[in-house]
Amino acid sequence: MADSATAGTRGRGGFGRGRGGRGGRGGRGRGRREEKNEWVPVTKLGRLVKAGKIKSMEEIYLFSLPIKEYQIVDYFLPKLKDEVMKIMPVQKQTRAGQRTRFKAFVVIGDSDGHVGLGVKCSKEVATAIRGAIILAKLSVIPVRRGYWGTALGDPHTVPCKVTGKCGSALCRLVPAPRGTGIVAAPTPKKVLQLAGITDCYTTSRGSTRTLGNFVKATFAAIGNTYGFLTPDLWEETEFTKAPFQEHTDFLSQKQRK
Amino acid sequence: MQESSHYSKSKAASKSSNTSTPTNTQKPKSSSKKTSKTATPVLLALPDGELEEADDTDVYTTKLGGKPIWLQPDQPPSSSICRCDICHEWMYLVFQGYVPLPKSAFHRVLYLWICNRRSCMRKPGSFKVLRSHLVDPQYLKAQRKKEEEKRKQEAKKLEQQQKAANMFGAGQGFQLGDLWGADKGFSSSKPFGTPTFGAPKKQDIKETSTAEPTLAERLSQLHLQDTPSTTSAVPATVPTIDDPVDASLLPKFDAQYLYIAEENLNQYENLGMDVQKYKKYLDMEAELLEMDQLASEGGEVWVGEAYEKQQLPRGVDKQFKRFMERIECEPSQCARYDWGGAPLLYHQQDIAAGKCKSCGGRRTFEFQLMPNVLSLLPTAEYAARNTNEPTPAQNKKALLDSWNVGMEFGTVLVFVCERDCHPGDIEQVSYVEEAAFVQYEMD
Repeated sequence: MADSATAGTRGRGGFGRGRGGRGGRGGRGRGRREEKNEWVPVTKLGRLVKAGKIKSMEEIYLFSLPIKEYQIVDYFLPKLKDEVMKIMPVQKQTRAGQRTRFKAFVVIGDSDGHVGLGVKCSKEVATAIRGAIILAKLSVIPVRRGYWGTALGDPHTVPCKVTGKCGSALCRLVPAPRGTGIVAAPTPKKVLQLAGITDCYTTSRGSTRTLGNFVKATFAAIGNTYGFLTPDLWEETEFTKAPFQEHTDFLSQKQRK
Repeated sequence: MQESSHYSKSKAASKSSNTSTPTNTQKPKSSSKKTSKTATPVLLALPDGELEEADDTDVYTTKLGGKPIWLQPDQPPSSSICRCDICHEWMYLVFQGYVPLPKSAFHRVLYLWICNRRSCMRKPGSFKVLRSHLVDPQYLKAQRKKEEEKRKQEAKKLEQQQKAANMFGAGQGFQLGDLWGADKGFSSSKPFGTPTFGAPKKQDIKETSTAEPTLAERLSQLHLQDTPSTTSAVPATVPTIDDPVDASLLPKFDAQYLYIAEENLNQYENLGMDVQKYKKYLDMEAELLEMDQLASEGGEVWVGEAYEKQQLPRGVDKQFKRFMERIECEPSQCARYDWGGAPLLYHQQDIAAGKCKSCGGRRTFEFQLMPNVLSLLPTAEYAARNTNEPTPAQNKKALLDSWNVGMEFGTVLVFVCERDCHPGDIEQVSYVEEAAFVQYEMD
């Protein structure tokens, strides 16, 4: 354990143990420790992203590809801001007494259409925070914004009434006119702000004291904005001719016996 | 904050973080206990720059890509090893490594070929491993000499003990086995009450003296030649190679050197995340432990929270998470070598290693290839070049699919014969096909 990195290095040559100095002709030795912050992708999607073949997060969302590496999200959304909502100790009763762990809630967003929520339990606060941030990044979701009235300027509110439920906590988001701001309890308000929703009315029901569930309900509601089919998303239908119109020549002939 | 020994198993150490538990599902024989002196750490192969084609002639180099260099240049293996079983095209050499085993007199090289067609992936036959042996005369001579000396010493000791036994007046014929069944024939005083040479050692000698002859016998039958045999005649026990592969015909990637280093898990820190921003919360840690739940800042009350198992995103399971964390200590690793150790799985899966094809013995894990290889070797470009398809830009999905060409894998686990068998004549070069178990990404 005490050996440093150089003690066990073998240089070029073989993997063989107990055989020194065989093989490994040629060239340069290794100047070790280049930048360690370089991301090396491990998944297919990661490799495509690193190679620059995918241009934006939206392409990943379009095909519902699972994101397994949080560096992908960092690559497309460098301006994500994270916020630790709460760290609380949770306890488990064991034979040897209570075992306390820390649960961290982290919300991440760029205030312009992307949010993520991560929850992680761990024995140490640092690990819980770090784990929650990674989970939040992996769960980033696009937010659809729309207008309350006329489509003038940038979208500022939810496009329609959406609702999300988690446990017994239910959260309903209602479009609001420009300038209203976010009318919500402080905790979901943070989530909505990081999502980039400027104006919104909210209604809630159920046990909102369970703020963990309440935040997840709000997150679910925000996620439903892109799950709602509005008329402007209808596909252009190709109209075929009506049968009467199509066969008008035949029909205009006198009926034969 | 971080303990120096991350793999310490003491639960009492409240500082040990969750991520530092052993990353393999089965306890690895070597690398889990860092404090154990006898544990051999895992060796990593790291990329080390380009290897020029003109320099690519040394069989002792461990490398990625390039053309295969045989131990006996005029005796290449059958060309079926370089052909994909599914599409019957040539495969690319992805890895060649010089991997002699300790206490073995053979030069030993492993080759790994992979088919570069996406349609051949996820089917058996597109990943092939070849193990090649060639006996090393000098090493063999030195080994034999050592064994001869050991044998002589042991024979001498045995003689001395026999004399001692006779001196003690043991009536029976001296039998090694009766040593500690001393009640049978000897008087009350055990002749070897305080054995001069130690009881266990006797056992050892007995065992080695029976085991030795097989190896020594075999080796003594060897006769060393100054020049390697140039005939291609092979003994009848080994199938004749009637279609030797011509290495110059094989397609290849540009070769890269691989640098071998031991795995160093000391950098298993915060994994790049700057936790200083959350200093406020870190400092609160002690207070939080005694915190009264009802008295919190901000006036809001979080009630009813219980321990929650984390929800992993789609396609990620616990083993994949451990895999990622383990390689984050050394992200550019291309291969992990751990003879007889436990592989680092890409995701949870039961591995069936199978039996050795040539001797029927068990197989053991030797090394695994990591996904970084796919980032280093131009697999997609070569695959696209070969198919000559124009990339369709209209349909987005087709565009995405057009980049999904070439070989793919999550990790390739290579299992080899446990006994390191050598079929055929000991002096001849031998080729044995080994098993490659491929783990793909799920989804």
